[in-house]
Amino acid sequence: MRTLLLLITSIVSLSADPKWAPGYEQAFALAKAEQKGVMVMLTQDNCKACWYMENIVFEDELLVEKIERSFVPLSLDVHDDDIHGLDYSGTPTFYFLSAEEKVIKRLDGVYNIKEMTAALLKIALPKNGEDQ
Amino acid sequence: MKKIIALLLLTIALFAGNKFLMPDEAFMPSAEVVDGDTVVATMKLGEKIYVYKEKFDFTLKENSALKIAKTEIENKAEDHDGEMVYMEDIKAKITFAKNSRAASQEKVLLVMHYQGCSEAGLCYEPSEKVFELEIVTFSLPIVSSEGIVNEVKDDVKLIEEGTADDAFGSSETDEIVAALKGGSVLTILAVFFGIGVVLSLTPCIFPMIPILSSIIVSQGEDISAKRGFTLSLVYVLAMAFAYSIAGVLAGVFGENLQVLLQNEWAIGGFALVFIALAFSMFGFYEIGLPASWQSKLSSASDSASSKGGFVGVAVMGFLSALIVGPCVAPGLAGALIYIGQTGDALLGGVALFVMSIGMGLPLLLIGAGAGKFMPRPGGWMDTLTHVFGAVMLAIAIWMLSRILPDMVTMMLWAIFFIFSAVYMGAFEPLEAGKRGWNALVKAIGVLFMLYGLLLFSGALSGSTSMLTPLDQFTNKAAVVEGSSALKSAKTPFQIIHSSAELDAILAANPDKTVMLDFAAEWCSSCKEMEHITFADTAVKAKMGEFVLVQADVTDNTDEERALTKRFGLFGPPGILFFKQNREIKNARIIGYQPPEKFLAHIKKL
Repeated sequence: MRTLLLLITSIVSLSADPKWAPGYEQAFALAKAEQKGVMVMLTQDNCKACWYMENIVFEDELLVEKIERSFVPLSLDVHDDDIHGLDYSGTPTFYFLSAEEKVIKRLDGVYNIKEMTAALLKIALPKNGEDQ
Repeated sequence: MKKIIALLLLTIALFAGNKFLMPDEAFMPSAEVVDGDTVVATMKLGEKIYVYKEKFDFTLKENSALKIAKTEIENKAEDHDGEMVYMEDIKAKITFAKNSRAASQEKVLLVMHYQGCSEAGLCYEPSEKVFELEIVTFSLPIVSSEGIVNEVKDDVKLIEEGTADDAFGSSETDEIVAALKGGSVLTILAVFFGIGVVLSLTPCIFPMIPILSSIIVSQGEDISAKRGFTLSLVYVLAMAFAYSIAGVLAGVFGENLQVLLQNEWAIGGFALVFIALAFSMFGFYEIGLPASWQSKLSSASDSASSKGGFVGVAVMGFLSALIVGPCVAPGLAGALIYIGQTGDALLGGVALFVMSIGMGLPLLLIGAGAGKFMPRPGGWMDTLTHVFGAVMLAIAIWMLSRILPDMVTMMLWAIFFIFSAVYMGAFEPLEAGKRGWNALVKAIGVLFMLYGLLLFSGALSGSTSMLTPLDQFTNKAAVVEGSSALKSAKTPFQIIHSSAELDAILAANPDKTVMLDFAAEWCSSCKEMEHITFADTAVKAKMGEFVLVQADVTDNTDEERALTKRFGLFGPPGILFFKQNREIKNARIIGYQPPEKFLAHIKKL
């Protein structure tokens, strides 16, 4: 259902939208190949805040560009998908991981475009594997 | 839409980056049982937390006897960006329905399901909280186990708010339960003592009066007011003790010891004790403790004989309470339900004890009086002893009437009166110059003889009525003229013995008020109800509008017990009213009610 929604959204809005990786393994393979990290967004049904992130924040072209410059975006449903032990107290929860699956940064809850951009700038700096 | 998004952006921008509440800080669910059968659940919400309306729900786990009938949420859901959500602390009232297998109390695991978000921009996982609760089931609407008999499958029919239920306020029993829950210990005990005193004037206690008097008289010649009082006190204390124990057991386990003892063996045994005592009082033999016991007691105390007497009286008091007067009155039922609901056997037990002492108050007075006015040893004393011996025999027959066919009982009464008449000298010539009292006694003896003979012939003719032993002969004439009129004179109850029979009747009469009367042969209050209240013309006319059902629980079979338990009753008497398959809450009557009061009550239905 979620995939269908994403598909519809991506068709309808030809604008930004991160190119979500199709799965966990593929995301990290791609990250390794492209020397990037992985941005995991944990979502679930009935998540107003996730809807806001997906449909408002990630519609911003500049932001999406910034994300994709350093990270492979991956969206996981906490109930339907294997989230590989990532902890969360609610959704959305964002994890920025190195290609070696090391956690660089965790962000809980909703971030508006400005804040997400600012957060990304901070995360991008120690990209070479150092924890912040 | 743009406006909404802008607003959303603004709100989110305001709170973004905040530290989010942990789920257990965001959602604080709780639930409690009110009025025994309803659950009030609340969901306290943390700051800026909201809950999705469609994700807020209740279910029951692992209980097939109850189901949720209705969930009423007091809050109004609001539109929050296209989603209906609860923005403030939520309060929900959950009512249940039961099937015929439900016990008087059911343990339920009520699950509250919820999911919500923080306005600061985090949505929590769907969660659930399980509450273990005890639900009192007797006033719950009934759904048949198959769900078809009553045509109430998933959505149980509920009487509209503000109809019959509200006409009654709360029942007497409920008020007592409430008093126990709310009052201070002293108030509670005072209230229960008062209830006991009121109950002492009901048929529950009447049989105790001849028993206690006989026992005191049988104690012999050195009786004084003080000793009479002390003996009665021992009797009453033992009785109160028995009532408390029986009550606590009933409250905790839902089994009424008194009702369990209404079987052939207990009653037969107890009647035998009275027959033995009676013959001892007639002077056939002396009853005493075995010599070995007596010597033990005597080494323990100087007043061995009086001690022995006390033990005997205590035993009689204990057994009398259990076997003679099984009565369920509002006070008793209230205390039992309280114990059942709270598990507080101590307070419930003490309340019952105090109530029983109140019930025994007249007995204490009678005991003291019996001691004081007891004649000095001599001819009169012997006569009195014999009279009470006869009273004991009468008690034995009265007890046996619960287990013997009516005809046999009547025959026993006939024999009793004929023998009494002979002993009273009905056939002996009055000595000249010695009339006075002797004549009176002889006259009474002759009357007894006549009555005995009438009972005798009545019993042989198949009559069972002590008051109209010849009805079999007189009715024969009436039969010719048309028996229907006569038959209709008695209130027509459908007699049932099981839950299934009741369900069938309820299902067949969805639009009528069904009156269910719990009665048993051994229940003296039920007899009073039947002969006084139900016999009243105005009451009878009004009752004609109801479907009348009588649950006869005389035999105390498993099915009868299940039926009694289903409604949380501890035994007869109890009258329940049903409408649309459901008991009319607070309308039930426990204990005897005089015609006027009963009529006023049923007129409100």
